[in-house]
Amino acid sequence: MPTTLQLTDGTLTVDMVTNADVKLSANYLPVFSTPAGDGTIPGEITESLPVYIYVADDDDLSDTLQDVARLGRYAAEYRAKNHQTPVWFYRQMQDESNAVRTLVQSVSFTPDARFAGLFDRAPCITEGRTGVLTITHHPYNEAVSAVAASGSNGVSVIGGTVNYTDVVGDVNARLYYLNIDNIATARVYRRVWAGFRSDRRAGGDAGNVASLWELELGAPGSSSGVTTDPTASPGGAGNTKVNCNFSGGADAGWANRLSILMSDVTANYGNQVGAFVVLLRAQVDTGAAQVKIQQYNNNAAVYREGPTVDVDATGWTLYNLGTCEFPGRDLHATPTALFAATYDQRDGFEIWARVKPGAAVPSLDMDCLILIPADEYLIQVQSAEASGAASNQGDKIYVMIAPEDTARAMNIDAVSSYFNIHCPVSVIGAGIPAGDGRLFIAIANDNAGTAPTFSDTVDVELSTYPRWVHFRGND
Amino acid sequence: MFSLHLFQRLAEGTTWEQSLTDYARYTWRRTTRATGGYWAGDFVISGCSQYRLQQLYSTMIGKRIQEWSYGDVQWEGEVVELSMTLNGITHTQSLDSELWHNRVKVEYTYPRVDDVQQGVLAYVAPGGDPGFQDTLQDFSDYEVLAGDATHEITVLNNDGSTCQGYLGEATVTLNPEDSIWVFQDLGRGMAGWNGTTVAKVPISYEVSNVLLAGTQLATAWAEQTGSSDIYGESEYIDVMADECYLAAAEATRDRRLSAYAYPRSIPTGGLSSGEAQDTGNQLAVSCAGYVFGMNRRFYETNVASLDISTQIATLVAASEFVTAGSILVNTDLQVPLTGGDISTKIWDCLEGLIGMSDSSGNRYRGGVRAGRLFDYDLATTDVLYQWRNGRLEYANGQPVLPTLIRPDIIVRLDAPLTVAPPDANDWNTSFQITISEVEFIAPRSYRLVPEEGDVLQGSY
Repeated sequence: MPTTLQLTDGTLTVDMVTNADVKLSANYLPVFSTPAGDGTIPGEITESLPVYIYVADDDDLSDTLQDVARLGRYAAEYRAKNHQTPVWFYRQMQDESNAVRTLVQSVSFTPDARFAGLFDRAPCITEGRTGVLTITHHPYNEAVSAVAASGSNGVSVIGGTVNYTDVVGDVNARLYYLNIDNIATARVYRRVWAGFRSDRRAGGDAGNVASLWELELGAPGSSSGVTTDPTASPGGAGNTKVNCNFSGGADAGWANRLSILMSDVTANYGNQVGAFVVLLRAQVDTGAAQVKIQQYNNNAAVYREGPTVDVDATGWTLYNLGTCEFPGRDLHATPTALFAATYDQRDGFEIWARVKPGAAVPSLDMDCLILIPADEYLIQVQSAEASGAASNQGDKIYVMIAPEDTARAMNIDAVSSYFNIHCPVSVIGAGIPAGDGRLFIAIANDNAGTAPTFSDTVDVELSTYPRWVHFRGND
Repeated sequence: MFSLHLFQRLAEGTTWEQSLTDYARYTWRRTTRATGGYWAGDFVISGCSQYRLQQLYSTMIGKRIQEWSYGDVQWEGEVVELSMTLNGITHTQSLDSELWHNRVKVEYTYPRVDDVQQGVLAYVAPGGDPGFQDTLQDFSDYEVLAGDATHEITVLNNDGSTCQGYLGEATVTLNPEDSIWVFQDLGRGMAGWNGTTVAKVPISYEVSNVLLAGTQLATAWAEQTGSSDIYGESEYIDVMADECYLAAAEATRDRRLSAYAYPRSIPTGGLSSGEAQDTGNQLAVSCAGYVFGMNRRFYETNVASLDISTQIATLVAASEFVTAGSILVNTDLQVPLTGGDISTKIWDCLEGLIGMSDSSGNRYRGGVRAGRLFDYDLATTDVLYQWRNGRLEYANGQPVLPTLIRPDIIVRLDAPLTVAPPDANDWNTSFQITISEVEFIAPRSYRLVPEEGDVLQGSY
């Protein structure tokens, strides 16, 4: 039997354990959802609790039934986004160390006539009026309180990382908030990518995931060569970039401008597993180029091609070249035990580029690729397109996930601490994978305002609500 | 796998307004075409308060929609139709050009005949010069005192013969202005009739405008700027069914403009009698890519033959919200633009140009992509995808994420033995198909529409 079983919005509570008004009339067995293996959140759960209402008179009965009805209305109003507080269903079993709560979608009470009619008072004073309390709620149970925030300071804006540890639960945790703070001097941040990679998914250690691929470590292609540039990131061979000049226009069509293999970047091939968003740090001096990636394994003739992207900013910025997935081989047909390392190290990219039709011939600089994990939990914030920054020096960017798994992002003005603007946010995945792992960050402007430099850093903080499908136990 | 966002109407700005992801999570679907780009989309909002449904119905029409997935825009368009059902009653508002237009002109036919007989007719010669009399007519409306004649008269005589002449100055025979001098030539140099009036008795006549009679004319464009400042322009050309003068055409134009300048909410369907009134509250949202918005403007200029890419760029520049993206320079084809002869909607014209192959038989594709950028390029000839086990995969065997599938791809089918044409190209080999349209169906399904053959349906 549970020691805690109640419906509450924080003010009004219907307690089915200690409350004398509504009590369980039979043993309570929780209903569990079935987690989907593809990372999506299952459908709602409906539980039917047999209860009896034990009251002294009809006024008492109406009070109790009205409380139940009110909570049902509050839950429906919250669901309809009418700015109400949520209604929670709290539960803790008798020998369980900790309680959980789940977001209520609807509540209803249906009386039955097991002991005379509902409104026959005499027998119900001793036996109680019986019925079924039906509660529909979110499929996941979460911790009653958020886990204390953790994070890191001085995280690089181009592929910087933040470790997270000990995310408990048997399903993905809800990200309560992700705070990006201490934005550098006179910078404009308008796009944020934040991808989570668990140790389990990363072949045991997400710390070995190489998110920053310095392109000078690869092999320049047609009309391309490595040059130094103090504004290029210092990783790899130093402050260097790969420049493609299209031979002044004589080599303007599509051609491979750079090849880079995984073995050029890291020896931890077994940890570079999963899908990633591929960002390119690039710039032009004039005109525009078009760029696309081709991901291949060993044989460049068999590849996965990304979308064609215009590169037209005269300052360094990040361009989304689509997604990639490692390893390039079919893991079912060619398991790791047979084809590790020597095979996967040949995974890589070709970066193809051409002069954008109709544009002046540019000199295209390519600094690095940033790989942001995309298949466990990916958050992308994009500020409004109107002029004006998503955030300026000192501002904060908050990404918050509400109990019903809706994502919100907003920019907090540093001077006034008011909400500056709300930003569109896209989320892929059901939450942060349980266990240990790493968060990967990339931040950029979008051709407006002062771009982040390679040395820019931010402070990153996150807080979570662990979740369980079944029991919480002693977690 | 995706998020859906609502922005201001482009005519008003580009500010983000709210996320629609929760509403559309399981009902969103959209299509993208190789020719056209982002094409159509729709979703249904339900399970929220009546207030929310009404608030969205009142404010969403014409607003911009973007679908984001894996950090980038995968579809963009505008809300073109809303259909709200509350308590069994449905209201609809639409940006269909037949139901909404804020920039109108009217084409009309100038009357072939300006005037006919009023009273007693006679051939006269006031002051000795040939003329014509209608005792109840006022010929001053048609007189010319200097220069070429503006009107001519054709008289039918009792014996079936006709006389024709150009009208000069009006004069009096019996009543003021009841007569007018007649000339044989337009320049009024030779007094007299074309045809003999000797022993003729006139029984009827027609006065016609020399230059305009029976010609096709058009009013000037009139615009309701209050509407176009909010929703953008929507042009409409009406055609008068009967001959009329400019004033009548302008009145028709202005009346139409007044009636259709703003989207209207129209009750559709009827009360559902005998059924519960509290079910089915919802808002159905239909979206269209900005390629359709290009058809809200007409192109009305003739341009001599130029490179097809130049003409494409000219047409794109004439649209309101779409700008040139990547337009491949194509000097292999030269085409004229004939919008001056026949007003043509911009996308309709572009579609025809994109469909033209060059002398090498190359095919092209074009359309509107993210950022309302118009692209024109060669159609693909590379086989980079395969259809295997009921899903689309990259050539390396990895499944393609449904939101990232693009049209203009060639897919190799996991097909049994087939016979290939002797001169097979990748794009016409029998075990490979070219996908001209893709549809994403939330949460993770898709349909691939080939140029020929059955639709392929898959899911991730």
